[in-house]
Amino acid sequence: MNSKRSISWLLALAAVFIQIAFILSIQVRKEWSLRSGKKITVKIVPVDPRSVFRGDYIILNYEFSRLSLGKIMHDKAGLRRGQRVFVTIAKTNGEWQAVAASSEHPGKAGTDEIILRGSVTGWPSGNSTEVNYGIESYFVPEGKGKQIEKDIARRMITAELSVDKKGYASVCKILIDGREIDFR
Amino acid sequence: MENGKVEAKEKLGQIMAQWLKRHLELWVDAGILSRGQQEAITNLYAWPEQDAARPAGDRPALKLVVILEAIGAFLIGIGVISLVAFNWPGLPNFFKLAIIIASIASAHLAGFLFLARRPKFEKAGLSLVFLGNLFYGAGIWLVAQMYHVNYGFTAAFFLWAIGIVPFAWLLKSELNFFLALALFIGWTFGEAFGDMEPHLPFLIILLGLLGPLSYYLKSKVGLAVCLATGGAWLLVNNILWFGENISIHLVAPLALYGIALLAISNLHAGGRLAAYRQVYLVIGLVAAGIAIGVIPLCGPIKFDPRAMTLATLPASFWTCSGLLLAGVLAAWALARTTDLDQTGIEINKMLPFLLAAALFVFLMPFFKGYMTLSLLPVILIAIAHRHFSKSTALLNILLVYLFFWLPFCLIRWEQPLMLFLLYPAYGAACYLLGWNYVSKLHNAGLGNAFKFFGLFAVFAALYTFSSSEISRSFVKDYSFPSSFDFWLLMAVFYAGAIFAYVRLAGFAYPAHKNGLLPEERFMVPVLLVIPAALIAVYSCNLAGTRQVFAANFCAICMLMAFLVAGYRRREAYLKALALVFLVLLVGSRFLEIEWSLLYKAVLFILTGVIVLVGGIIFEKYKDKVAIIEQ
Repeated sequence: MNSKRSISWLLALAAVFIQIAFILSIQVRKEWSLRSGKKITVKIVPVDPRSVFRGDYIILNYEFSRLSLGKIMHDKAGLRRGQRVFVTIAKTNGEWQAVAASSEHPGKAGTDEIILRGSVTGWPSGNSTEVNYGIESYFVPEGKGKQIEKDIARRMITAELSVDKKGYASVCKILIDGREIDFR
Repeated sequence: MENGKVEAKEKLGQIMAQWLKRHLELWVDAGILSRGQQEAITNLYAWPEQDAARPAGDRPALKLVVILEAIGAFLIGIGVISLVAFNWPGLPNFFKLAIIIASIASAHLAGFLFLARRPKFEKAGLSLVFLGNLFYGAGIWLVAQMYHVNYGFTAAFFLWAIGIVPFAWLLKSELNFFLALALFIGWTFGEAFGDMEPHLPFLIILLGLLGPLSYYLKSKVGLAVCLATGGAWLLVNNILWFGENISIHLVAPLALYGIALLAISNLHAGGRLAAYRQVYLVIGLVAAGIAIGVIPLCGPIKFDPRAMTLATLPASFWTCSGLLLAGVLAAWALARTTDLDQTGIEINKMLPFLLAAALFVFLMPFFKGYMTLSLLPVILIAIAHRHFSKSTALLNILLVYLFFWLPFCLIRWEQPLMLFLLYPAYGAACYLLGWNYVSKLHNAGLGNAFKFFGLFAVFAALYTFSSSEISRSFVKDYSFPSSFDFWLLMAVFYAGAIFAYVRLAGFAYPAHKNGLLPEERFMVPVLLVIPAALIAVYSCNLAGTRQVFAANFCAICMLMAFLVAGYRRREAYLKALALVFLVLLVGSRFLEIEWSLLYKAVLFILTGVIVLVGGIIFEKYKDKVAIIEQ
């Protein structure tokens, strides 16, 4: 009886550790990706909404979020809705733009090239399709999103991204005219 | 003949039993009956169970403790989630993460300690584990916020739910099971509506995890939610399979699902499973009733030429319908061998008629233009039911159904502000009138109906005024009520309420078993102040954030008071009504985008702590709480 009881206590404790491990596993993976990744700065267009679970955030739109299929190299089979896609972006004229898309990791990227891992959202229509890289939101303290939205017209707003070897990207910070915003 | 009657004792309901018991005493006192005759009449019927026979977990005081502690923990949990969402500037992320992880661990460990060391506080222990599970969700959202992960609701909901399952299983905790269940439901419908594509993995979770778990936890409510979700899932996924060309055939899988549940209820006729039979019966009747009831409503509607026809229906539709039909037939064939009671036999005989009514949907497109012919399936069921059970209940329902059927599509809603000013006064008058029926006129049936409608009106009005958006639209359109009718009605309701309240003066608990409880005596005058206060606030141009805040506070107090009264007097309708509105109110405030997240967090956490501590104190003294015996 007693050993059965202690086993169930061990199981209950294990369940608590599972919860904490779940949270920490996402945290550690993101942290590792952030620290080991290559940093790039890209131009963005922010919009300000709110989530009841995560708070205010700004939606980040990138030039390479919409792929013009006529202008880039791609394998058509990999561009179905919901499909995983690897997009190669390169710096041309000082801006990062998509140059190729494929359903498999293309291996080594060229100099001044970055490979991003994303998934196709929306229905590929005509000659273009939308891709989501998991870096489309930036969470900010309550009320601060509106301020950034106001700055769009007058200032240059960019995001610093970190992209690891496997193509996972994270947003590090948001910069206005090249300076990091301080939310404090 | 006398003996035969005694053997097949008729079961009395609570209300009837109460009435008969009281009147038997009156008749004996008046000399109409002797004590012997009174006893003979008493022995003629099967009386409802007395409290002594109830299992320990079914005691109303304990249930009240559970609900108070669960509400408290839930409020604290969503308060902390709001606090995380507030995204406190200047606080390092790792510090926030450390606090959340410490909160998860300490809530769980405190819960375990209560469970292990203080058996008297078992429910408090389970509530603390529940709180830990809410903190766990806050942790997931915090990490998502820290790293700007934009996974939507769905993936996070799944991770949240799956982390709770071990606790529901290990601690045999229904409360934690319900949380996981709600999150899994959010997950599947989020996925389906997010991608606008059918979401099949939920079927595995439902059949492989949630269903078995509700049997393991002996949770009838859990099973009911699983079965209802199954029906909703079937309907939503079929809508998505149909795409843009939705047709009336859509209701066929839902009807077959309901009939399958009815057939399965007969497989639960005896043994240990008998307790779950009612759940299958009720959910099956509701699903089949809704689906078959919708078929005739489509009679007066023109069919869209682009809608699916028999030839173009998707393969998934035929698979669903075929599997469910096979399920109905299999359960029907198997149930024949077991012993069935009267209801079981009736269901068994009704199954072919229900199937015919459900499959009538395939004939509907051929009946376009013949509105009355579309009523055939419901008429068929009502007549068959009359034939097999000798009861006219379904025929009566058919008449009520016709009432809604005829003006279908003609209903037009108008929503004037004045209606919601009248509602609290109307509700108070109705509620007190109901009490007069119960206390003075001994007509509990009519009295309870009045009480229910009265409270419904009150809660609906308070809920409406607690929304800042609706309140703002009221302010915009407001002008001092000048209509004679409005003031006349207001006067009548006030007069009625005050008259009924005064008449009830001598009917206060504890002197009278059927009297008003102190919490109700306090709430009724508050209720009457509300319309006057609102008119004053609107007329003096004071309506704004503070008024909405006061309305929320008032609504919470009112709902809690009636919830406590419902548990103390063991009135199921009162408990259900107060709980539904409480969930609605808290849910709406949580989702309200306009409120500052910090204020929301503080409000939820403070209220939650008060309710949880109140619940724990209550648990200590639960044996001393006055529960009104009927």
